[in-house]
Amino acid sequence: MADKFEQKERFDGQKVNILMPEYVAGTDKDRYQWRKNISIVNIGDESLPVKRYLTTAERYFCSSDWFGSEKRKNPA
Amino acid sequence: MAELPKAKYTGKIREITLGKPGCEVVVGGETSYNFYSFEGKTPNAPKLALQVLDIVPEEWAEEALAPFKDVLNDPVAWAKKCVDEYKADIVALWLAGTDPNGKNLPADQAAEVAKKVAEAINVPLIVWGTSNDEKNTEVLKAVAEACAGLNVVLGPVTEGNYKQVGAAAIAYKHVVAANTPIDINLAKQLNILLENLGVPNNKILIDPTTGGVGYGMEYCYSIMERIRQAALTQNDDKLQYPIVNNIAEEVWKTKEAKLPTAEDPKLGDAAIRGINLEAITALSALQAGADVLILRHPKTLEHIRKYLSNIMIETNLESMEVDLTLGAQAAAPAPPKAAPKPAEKAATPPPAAKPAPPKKEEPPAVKVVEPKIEAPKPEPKVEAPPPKEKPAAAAAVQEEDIELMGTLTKDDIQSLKEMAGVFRAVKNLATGLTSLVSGQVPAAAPAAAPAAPVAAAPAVAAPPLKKKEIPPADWTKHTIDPVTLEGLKKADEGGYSTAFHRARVLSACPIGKGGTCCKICNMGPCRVLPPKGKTETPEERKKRCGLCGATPETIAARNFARMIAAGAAAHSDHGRHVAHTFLHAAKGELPDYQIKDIPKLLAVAMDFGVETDGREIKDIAIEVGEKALAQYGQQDGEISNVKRAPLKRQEIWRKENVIPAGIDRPVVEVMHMTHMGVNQDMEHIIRLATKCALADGWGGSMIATDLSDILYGTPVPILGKVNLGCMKEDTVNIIVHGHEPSLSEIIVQAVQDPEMIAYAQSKGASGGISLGGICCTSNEILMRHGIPIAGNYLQQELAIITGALEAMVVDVQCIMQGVAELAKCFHTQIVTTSPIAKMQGAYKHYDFDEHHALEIAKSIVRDAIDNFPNRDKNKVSLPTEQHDMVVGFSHETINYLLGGMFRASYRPLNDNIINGRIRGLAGIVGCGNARINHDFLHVELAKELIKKDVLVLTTGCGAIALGKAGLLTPEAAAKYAGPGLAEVCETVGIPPALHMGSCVDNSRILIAATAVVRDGGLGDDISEIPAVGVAPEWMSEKAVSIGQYFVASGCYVLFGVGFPTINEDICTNYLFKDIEKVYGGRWDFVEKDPYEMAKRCLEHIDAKRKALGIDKARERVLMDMAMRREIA
Repeated sequence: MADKFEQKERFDGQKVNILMPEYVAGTDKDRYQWRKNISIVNIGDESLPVKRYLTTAERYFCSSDWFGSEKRKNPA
Repeated sequence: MAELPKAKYTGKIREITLGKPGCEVVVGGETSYNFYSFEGKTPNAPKLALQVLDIVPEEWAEEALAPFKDVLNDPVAWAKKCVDEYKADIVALWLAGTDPNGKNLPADQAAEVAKKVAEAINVPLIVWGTSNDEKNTEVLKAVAEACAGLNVVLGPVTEGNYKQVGAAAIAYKHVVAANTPIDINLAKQLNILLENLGVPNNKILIDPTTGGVGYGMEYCYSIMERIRQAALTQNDDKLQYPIVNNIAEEVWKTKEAKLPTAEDPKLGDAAIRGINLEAITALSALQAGADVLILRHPKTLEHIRKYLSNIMIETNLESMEVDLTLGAQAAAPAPPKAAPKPAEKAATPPPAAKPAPPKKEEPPAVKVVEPKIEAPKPEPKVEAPPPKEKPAAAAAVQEEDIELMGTLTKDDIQSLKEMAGVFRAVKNLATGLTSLVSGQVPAAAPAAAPAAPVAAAPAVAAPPLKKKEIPPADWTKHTIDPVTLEGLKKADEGGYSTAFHRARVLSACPIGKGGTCCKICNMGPCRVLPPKGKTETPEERKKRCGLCGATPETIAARNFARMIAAGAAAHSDHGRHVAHTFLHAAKGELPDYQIKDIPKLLAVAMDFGVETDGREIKDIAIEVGEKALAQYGQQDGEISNVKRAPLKRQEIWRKENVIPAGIDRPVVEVMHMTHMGVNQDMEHIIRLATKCALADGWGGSMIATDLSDILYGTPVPILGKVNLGCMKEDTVNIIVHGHEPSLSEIIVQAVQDPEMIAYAQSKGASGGISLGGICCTSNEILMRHGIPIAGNYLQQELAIITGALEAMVVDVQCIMQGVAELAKCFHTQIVTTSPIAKMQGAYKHYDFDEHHALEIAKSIVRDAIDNFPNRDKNKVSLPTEQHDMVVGFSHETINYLLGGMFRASYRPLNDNIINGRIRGLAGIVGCGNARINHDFLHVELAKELIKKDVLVLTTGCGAIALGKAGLLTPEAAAKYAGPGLAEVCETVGIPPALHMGSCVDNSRILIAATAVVRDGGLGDDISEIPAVGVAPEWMSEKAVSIGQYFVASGCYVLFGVGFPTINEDICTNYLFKDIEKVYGGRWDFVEKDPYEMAKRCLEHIDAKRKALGIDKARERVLMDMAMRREIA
């Protein structure tokens, strides 16, 4: 991919060429299917990686412990 | 003597004098509907004008040219011929030569011609310009000046040129023809503008725009009828003007009027076809209220003149052969047992005080009311008249009819009277037409004479349905999407009708729209509108109720509840279908479906209380499927998913007793409680409707989303494309449209099958197959497969108009019936697939069965491929515009993006809300609505909120609108977002508006909001977080259900376009205000101002921030141990 430049004025009035941001357009093949990693990532007990993931990452709904605002002595 | 009730008219049409001194003609003056001489007066018969052109016509039908062949070069001679030979009441000079797209003759030349014509004739002159406002202004001003004092009619005067032409008319004392595009409100508005300008009210005619028969006449008829109703029965003085119709131009430009016989013999003889079309259009206009008709063919004029001679006779009830004794019986109903038998009634002679009605054999008693109109003459009949003696069977039928009529009400009799007038008119027309047609048959072809009427009939009676002419519109005011704009222009060129076109001529019913029409029983419909323009006293308010005594608030609440029930049913049935497919897939009975997201299966299993340890995935899935389906019919307890809501929210629901036991039951309960005579307490109706809405949001919709994720994959971000540019010229184009993903998922597989691609190529589609989506199905397959979105709800018809769509495969919800009729104008196949959704006019229906999913999908695709060679290349015009967008932000993905695999969390979001980089959250969801500027509210509102650092979550057709506007890319953050939000978006790599799926996926927003609450720091409940929900362009009942479950979940919800209870103050006040005390959320409404919407959203967000104490940046304090001890 050819570099793209934009001419801008420097603080002292001198013209300078600034390299523009660039990126390569992604495709569906580049899609990062992160959820497939859940079953292979070793979190704690190796035998139950998915359940471990749910009770930690998805703790808001899947943990038996209460989190955040609902973790209190006198529940609302 | 019994008298039939008569309608009372409170208004009168103004009498307008046309023409120069000594040649004046008066039009208008009616005190009843046209020709209802039994109820009022029509002092001036409608006047007939013949059209004259300033140039030699280039595209006129041969038949229309023939009568004027010798004078076509001379407008003055032409006009004189119209008057002297053909007896026109008025001459209409059409300055076609001034058209900028044609000869573009200068204004002064046109004015000169107009002056010469006006001076040469001894009848009034109408001077008609072209459709170009700018040129018309110049031309009509010059004409006004040249014809000073000749009192000509200047037209068309439109909203675009009324100031200039109106001023000229005032200065030179002319009449103006106020032209509007078939809309009563615009007609009234233009009259007001003209009056305000100073045009005297005896110098205005209404030109409501005319459509030929088969080309929109019914719209025109309806609007004219309503104008007259408003003028006469509601005494609306802004509409009490005579009506002029330019029949000539509209009829004779149609294909049916112009096409020579040889080119399409089945249309009938061209010599009479155009005349018949013009005559029938003219007759229809007369019935609707016309006072001046501009005609082209002298034969039409002759025919209409004869018709007027017949109809302009003062009709009395005796002459109409109405049995007045029926009126007496209807007016004073007796108990059925005491009433005489119908036969006796009919036999009872009327009282002696009045002569008996004349027998049918006698000529009707007539009185000529206008000396200018010649007395009716018996028309020669071509065919033998029917025998006057009634056969025995007919007599029996008549007796039966009389028996039925004995129970008529006054209203029924009034309707009958109206029908009698129409029948009489039609009878006269039929007689006239027969004579006209017979007169047109050439003597040289006697053999064709008997067949002529038959041959002519189809051309007149059954015009092709495919094209309806709509007056030109400035579509830039109807959509902001350039692709839609192009499509609408193409629709105009082809004469195709879309929802955008229909919205211009079909106004929303103002009574039904505001919730104050009760039609749940046959004593109604009862309209309980508040009085206009005055404050109601409590006593008056008490009297305003339905026939059963139902108060306006009860009626509004019932209507509102029924909308929620319909919306909840739609979402939930969608969920049921997914659950059903899921269960059978889990059992291994559906080879084309597999469980794709095991982590989500386990998560849902935990919610449903399904044991997972040590069990096979298949067993877990089966139990989850069974539990999900059981949620629908559950009769006791609570639906499982409410356990996902914040604890405080659950407590509120339990206190209010609105947690549904199952999903189906609340829908049935709402339908029951809104039946006549059940629940008649507004607040309680809303309470049960809330339960129904919660059964949708936390029940059916959530099940639909969860099980779809398990079966088809939980969305993860993906780059997609949006807009009709996804269709290609060298591919077979298929669009899936609707909501349920079960078929569309398999069609995705089918179109990727190499065998199918090769088959498409063998049929000439070198590029293979392109699949696109419309509406929520498109969101489903885009998020999971990257299949491009062709457009949102309002673009479904435009996809067909590209001319390059082989098949549109539809299932349920939001599919316009208009697509079937439109598809007939092209080669597109409309394929229905749901067992509950067939469509008249569709190409084929497949009863979709998941057991043979791929097989059925391939059949559909194969049909589409076979259809590719039928594509008419001349009709193809494909837009190329597409936009990139990044979609697929499920709750799981947001959680992952904010913390990664090991630290997945909403903490960064909460922290950024607390520190103010993100001011709040806004859900922008909902449909598209043709009543407003398409996509405008969605896009402008989103831009305004993003600019103010509000992170937008979006679903449904609203999400597609934002995608088309380029707001769903990470780059949009730098361009549109405020500095705080832009910083967050850049850090995380997300767009400032997150696409979360289809309309059932609004449940994802509920889950995300709950995760925000649970993460802490922003209160204990959804009602405490700085968040709002907006459906700016909503149209479906599902949106009402969504809105109500968000309100019940503690959200502030703002609707645009209209609100279902807005005409009823008590119910609306409850929903907008009092309900907040119960649920912490409330409704609000802004018609169509996105900036006001944004302002209100920000006010709400800021109020919530203030309540949380995060409205001001706080200085960070490094606490030492002593300070910590102090806090403890």
